[in-house]
Amino acid sequence: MFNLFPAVFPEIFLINATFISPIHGVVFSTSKKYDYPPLASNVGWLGLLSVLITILLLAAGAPLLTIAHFFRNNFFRKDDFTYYRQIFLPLSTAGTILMCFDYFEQDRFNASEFIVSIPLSTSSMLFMISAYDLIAMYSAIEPQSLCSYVIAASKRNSEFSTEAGLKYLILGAFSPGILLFGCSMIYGSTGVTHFDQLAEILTGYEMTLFGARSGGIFAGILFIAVGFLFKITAVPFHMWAPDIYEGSPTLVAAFFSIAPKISIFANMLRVFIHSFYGTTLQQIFFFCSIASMILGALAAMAQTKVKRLLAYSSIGHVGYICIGFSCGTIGGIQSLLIGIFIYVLMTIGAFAIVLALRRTRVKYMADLGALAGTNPILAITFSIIMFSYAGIPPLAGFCSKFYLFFAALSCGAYLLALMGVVTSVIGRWAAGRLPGVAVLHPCTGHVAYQKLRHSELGGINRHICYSESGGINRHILQ
Amino acid sequence: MVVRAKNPVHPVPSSIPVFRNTSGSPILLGPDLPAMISPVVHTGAIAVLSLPVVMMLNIQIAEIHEKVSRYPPVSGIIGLIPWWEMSLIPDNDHIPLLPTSISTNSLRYTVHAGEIQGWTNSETSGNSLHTYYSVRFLVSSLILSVAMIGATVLTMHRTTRVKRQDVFRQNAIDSKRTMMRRTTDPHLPTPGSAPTIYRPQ
Repeated sequence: MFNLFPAVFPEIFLINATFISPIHGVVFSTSKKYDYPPLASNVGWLGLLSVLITILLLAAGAPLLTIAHFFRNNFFRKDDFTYYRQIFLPLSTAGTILMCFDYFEQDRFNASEFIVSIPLSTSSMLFMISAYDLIAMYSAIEPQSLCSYVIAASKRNSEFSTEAGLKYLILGAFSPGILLFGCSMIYGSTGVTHFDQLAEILTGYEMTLFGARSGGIFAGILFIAVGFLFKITAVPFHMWAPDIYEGSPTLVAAFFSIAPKISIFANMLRVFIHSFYGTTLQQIFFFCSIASMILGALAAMAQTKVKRLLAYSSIGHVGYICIGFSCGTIGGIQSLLIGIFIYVLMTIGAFAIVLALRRTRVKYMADLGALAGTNPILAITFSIIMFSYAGIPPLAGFCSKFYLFFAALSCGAYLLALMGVVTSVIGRWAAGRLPGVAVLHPCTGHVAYQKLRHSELGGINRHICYSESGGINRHILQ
Repeated sequence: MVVRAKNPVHPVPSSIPVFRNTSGSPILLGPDLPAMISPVVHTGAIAVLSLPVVMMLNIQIAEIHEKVSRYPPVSGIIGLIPWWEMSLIPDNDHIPLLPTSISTNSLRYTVHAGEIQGWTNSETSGNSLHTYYSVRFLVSSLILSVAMIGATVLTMHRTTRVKRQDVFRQNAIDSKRTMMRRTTDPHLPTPGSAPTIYRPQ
């Protein structure tokens, strides 16, 4: 049965647009007739537009969902799950691209190919979300990571950025290697790579001493789990993630903490809950989520730099989201998806504020000291976002954590819920440090902020209102 | 040499013999097309594109800070892991080293006679790779294109001090108008006259 190309029209469009935009950039930025215009922002808007049109194409592809179940042996499966994930992913990418225009202006950044990596990465993430085959999954993880290494190292006159790019390269070369090793073990032990066929083979496959077990399948699943946990920077495998986030340009760190998490969690759900469900690796996800939550809360307390704090907060939040994952129940999966949605909104907001304050080189937390005096609206916005990270009640972060803990309790994972609550309390102190510095303990030194552009402020505030009112609405509608 | 080099740039060219050697194994076993393609892809695309990225590092400082003696313990442990996997996990049915193998009737007789086809490797792989797996194939070509674009983005340095060629200007040179006969030094003979020896005064 052959592949149905109309079903991948959104990805085809995005890839084509991504290849035509740098051609446009190269041809016009080296043309003497137009006086060598710097085209980074121009190509940026083109990239944004192509991402938004991809959303339209994805939404228009809804009728294909009804016939998607005909494609049994193919590499992708588009159903309702992928529909919503695939629309949400380019939306969050569009939010990230919006943040980058100011970055181009400030740094006088001229490489028009920088923007190319982001839609290309998005297109491969779209493939990843709908991937239904181990080969397709791996071949979609690779371009996404490769684009990320490139943009992590893109600030050329900073060795910090080169270091971050190389660390990400090594981390990202090692982890898909482990993932691929697991895939090959599974293929060697079962002979199939398609998720449906794997699900059929592995249903009822108990990992007990009394059944006939295969070392290959067990090792394969273990390696795939480890590979995925590396990618989402869960705790025993998070080693270089804070360094990477800190060294890359802030925009790129924002992109890392937002987009790959959505697609990799979607893919993990497919792999572990659909195909490997009987051979559950619950213990490893339990351990990783508890360790991530603890590390996220404790390490965030000791940070002095804003980006590292955000990196550890995101590691901690990944731990919370993995709670929903380790439950394995439908409630767990639902809470995971809600958790990812809210996490992405919070992270876009947090990084947008850090980016908006970049004109004065906000690197250390003490730099935020005079925010309350100069720009009280931004200080309040920032406080709302960080309180949402911490999980304070009327805000959206609390709702996501509530659902996650509820799902954990309902499937009997009492330890997970307990650890979640404890680390959430600890993390409240850590996440509250930033607003505390900004609002309560203003510094007495001379910190000056340039006037923010009105558009940034408007965008940030509108965004916060949406996310927080979303939290309140859900709470009310319960 | 790939793993132990002090200078960070050395591993990239040193990996060329590595790729060549690893392609020898598929040649001996049968699949000739992957054996030929793998050095092309590995060396020609991956090593070539990662070389500029590695060169972005500051090599003098990187070499000075290297203390080689702290690597063997950890790298030895990590290096033992694939060895452990390769010896324990495959063929677990025949050589039960792990406690997971309970089945003792794992030797099965497979009739291969009906599966022989007189196709070349290229035909076989083309028949499935370009038809059923075509979209996966194209997605993996995305990886290589990202590598190309990435290496260029990171390392192309276009300032006024970097010399570049302008091909159109070079092509527009008309040799008849560019090369002229002139005397630059009155003591030197003009071309065409008898050669004399030039003695500085």
